[in-house]
Amino acid sequence: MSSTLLDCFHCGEPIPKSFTLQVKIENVDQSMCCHGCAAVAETIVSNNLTGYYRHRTEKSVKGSTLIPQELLNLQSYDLTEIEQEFTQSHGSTKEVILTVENVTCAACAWLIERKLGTLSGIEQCSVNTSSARLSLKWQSKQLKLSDILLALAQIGYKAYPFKADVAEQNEVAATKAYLRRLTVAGLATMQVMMFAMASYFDVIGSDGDGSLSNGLNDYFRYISLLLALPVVFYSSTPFYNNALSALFAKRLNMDVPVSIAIFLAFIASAYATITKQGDVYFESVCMFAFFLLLGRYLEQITKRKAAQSSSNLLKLIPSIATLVEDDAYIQIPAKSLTLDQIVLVKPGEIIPADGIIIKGETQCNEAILTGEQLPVNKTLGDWVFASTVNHDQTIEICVKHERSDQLISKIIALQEQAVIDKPKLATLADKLSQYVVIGILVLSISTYLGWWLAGNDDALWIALAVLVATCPCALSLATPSAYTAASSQLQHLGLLAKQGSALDTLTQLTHINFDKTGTLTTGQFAIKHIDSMGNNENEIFAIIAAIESQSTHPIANTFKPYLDNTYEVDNVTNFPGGGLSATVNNEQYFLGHHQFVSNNIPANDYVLADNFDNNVIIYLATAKNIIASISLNDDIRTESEPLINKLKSIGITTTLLTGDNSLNADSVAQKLNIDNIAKGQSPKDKLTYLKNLQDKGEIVAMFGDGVNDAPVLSQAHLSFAMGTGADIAKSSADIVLLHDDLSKIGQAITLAKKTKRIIIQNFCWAIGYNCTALPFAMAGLLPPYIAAIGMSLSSIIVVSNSLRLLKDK
Amino acid sequence: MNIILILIPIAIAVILIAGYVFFWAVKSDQFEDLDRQASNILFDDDIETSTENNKGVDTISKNDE
Repeated sequence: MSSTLLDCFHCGEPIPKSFTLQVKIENVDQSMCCHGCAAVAETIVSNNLTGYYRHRTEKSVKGSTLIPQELLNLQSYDLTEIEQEFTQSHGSTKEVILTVENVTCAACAWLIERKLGTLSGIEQCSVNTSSARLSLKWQSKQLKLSDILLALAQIGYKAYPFKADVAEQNEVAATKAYLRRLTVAGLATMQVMMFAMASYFDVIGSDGDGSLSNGLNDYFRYISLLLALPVVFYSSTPFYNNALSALFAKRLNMDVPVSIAIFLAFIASAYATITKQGDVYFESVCMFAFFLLLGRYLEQITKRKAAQSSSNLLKLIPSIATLVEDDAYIQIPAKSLTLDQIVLVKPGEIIPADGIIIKGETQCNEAILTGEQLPVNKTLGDWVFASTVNHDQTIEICVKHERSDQLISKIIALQEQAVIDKPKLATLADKLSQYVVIGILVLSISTYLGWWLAGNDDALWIALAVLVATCPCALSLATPSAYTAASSQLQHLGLLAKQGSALDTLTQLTHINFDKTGTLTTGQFAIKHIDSMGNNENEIFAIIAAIESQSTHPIANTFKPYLDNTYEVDNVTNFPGGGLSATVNNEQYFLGHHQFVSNNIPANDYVLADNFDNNVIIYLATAKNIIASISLNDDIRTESEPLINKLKSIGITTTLLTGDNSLNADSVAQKLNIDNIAKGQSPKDKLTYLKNLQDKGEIVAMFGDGVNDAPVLSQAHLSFAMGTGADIAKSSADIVLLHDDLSKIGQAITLAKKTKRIIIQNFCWAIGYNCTALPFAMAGLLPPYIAAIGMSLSSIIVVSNSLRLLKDK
Repeated sequence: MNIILILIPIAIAVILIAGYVFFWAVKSDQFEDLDRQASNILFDDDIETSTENNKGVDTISKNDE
């Protein structure tokens, strides 16, 4: 029955024609789209965990089998020195928290817990679906961490240790603290409100002529005082701290009048209670604190979620070095390498330290440092750099730089400096609140002075009514509530904003810089043109795919889709910097650039293919002559052009800021119609370029993905990193594009503008309400309970207005 | 109305208890994953139906506590 469905039962992707693998799940044969999905499904069935399929609310992620390199990576987590970095040991029990990719629903959590539960040695495992974390406790004698990671891989989940942001620890603690403060304020408010109701409706009677006796009035006041104590001295402390630190920095913020209002209202009410005269405002104080804390708590949750998601992105991939010592090979963590040690680096491995090649020659992909994705030839005596990838051959290098002197460490140092230098833009809310705060303070004081000079004994009470009536509760909620709603909308778009204020900056931008490779382009080669010279194109592709299947060169990936198992490939030889030779179906082929190919075949009259756009051209030849030429180029993302056009239409200048020095950079800039281009830029050059723009008063944003972009991402007013980019780029950026989808930026700008409008509306409403209440309060005509009710209504209207941001999905 | 004099302190005592319980809940991470627990009840059925043929059940039910 369900076998007639065209989509994979496991991941929901279409099933390729002629692929007929099925897995029996709960007595029904279900079709699978690939061996990866089938393997995962079979593991789930054989572990009796098919309940997962019944309860999942979303399709799973496409299964994939681990490649040997990944398996090796898993095992390196077991090295003691590396494991110590992220696990905690209690005797033979070890504890770790991992981040798990693609945990989409509660069924995933259930599946993971059940599967790991079958491993002997697991003491405790629990999955938190909202933070995508797995916390584990296991017996290290019975089980290795790599076994656990492997078991997870078998059911289709990749788990990694991660570098927990320092920020995250603080956010978690702060969130809990706010939750406690909020509850205390909530419970106390309910009680105090109850007693206040009695006096609102005058059941007590202020002079003992009501239905309750005069003694009860005092009793209620004392109880209210008691209940308000924890609200004032525990729940509200964050406001005082913020206010004090602002005052010390000689600034004013919203917390200053908030603190004064809470404190003065409380002291005056306490004074009134003890001296038995005047009004009490305990209910206003409590409710005020409660509403504000609610706003802060919501803001805090968003911040914490962002901190968690961004630390989940920072996977801790062990960096291992194979040390050569007396002809023996020892695996050690890269960071324990010292000068002049000799290290073996196999093809596909990451080079662990800066050094000089002493044996072998190879090609290295240095894209992470330079942004150029074509491998660079490296031979005896050449420098190779930490974090770059060795492509072709096994080499031995002699370590020549201490860890802190490595090229990559220098870029990181530059980035750290840039974080400190980053200019801070005042948000609209900051600017507005300054005036409001001064206004409130001046009015309250002049009201007091006015009535005092007029000889009124109630001057203090009236001034207090002014302060409570104009209390900036709604004003304080105006921005955080809007940012919270907008951040959650951004998350729907696949953008992770680390701070709400990023949205404000987004509306002020005047200039945007883009990195090229991996940002505007996909960073992967695509076939632009093929000249098959009369041969069958599909056959040519199949032959190339067969030969390239043995290569780690970035070009090889391009041909993967054409792989056909009927072509038998043998004797693949790699000529670094030249190309490959191999026999396919017993015929000899050469594949590589023109020089290499023509050196290996008899002289022929084939002319070089025309080279538009500075493409990379490879040639395929038999032992006799060239049979095809293929032009490849880094593919421009389809979303790039609409984005650039959109930015131009709203008057933002664009610049291509790239490390690439080739003509390709010009052709990308030209095709996308980018205003300026700066190419061949080192990380330091990029930083200087950006600082110059900032000095001219431009509000600058930067898009990037590589290590070489990290410093400039930190320096920019606003920065965006691609989700597939380097960790340091993601941790430097204000906003991470989780799905690398540039087209969402346009929507984000629209959202940011809408958020700004909502904030302005909120301010207008809050100030409007305060201005209306003000004359009555100054005239001494506003009873405290009306002031309190008005304040609450005003806050609710502001929050509801902000929630409108959540409406469009 | 003298009863109020006694009832109010009792009410406050109840609030203190509620506050204490809440503080304990926050401290023991009860509010860490609100999405997950809502659907956990659905999975309890599976544990019962597949108890006979699954060895991992004991470990799991211990973990769910």
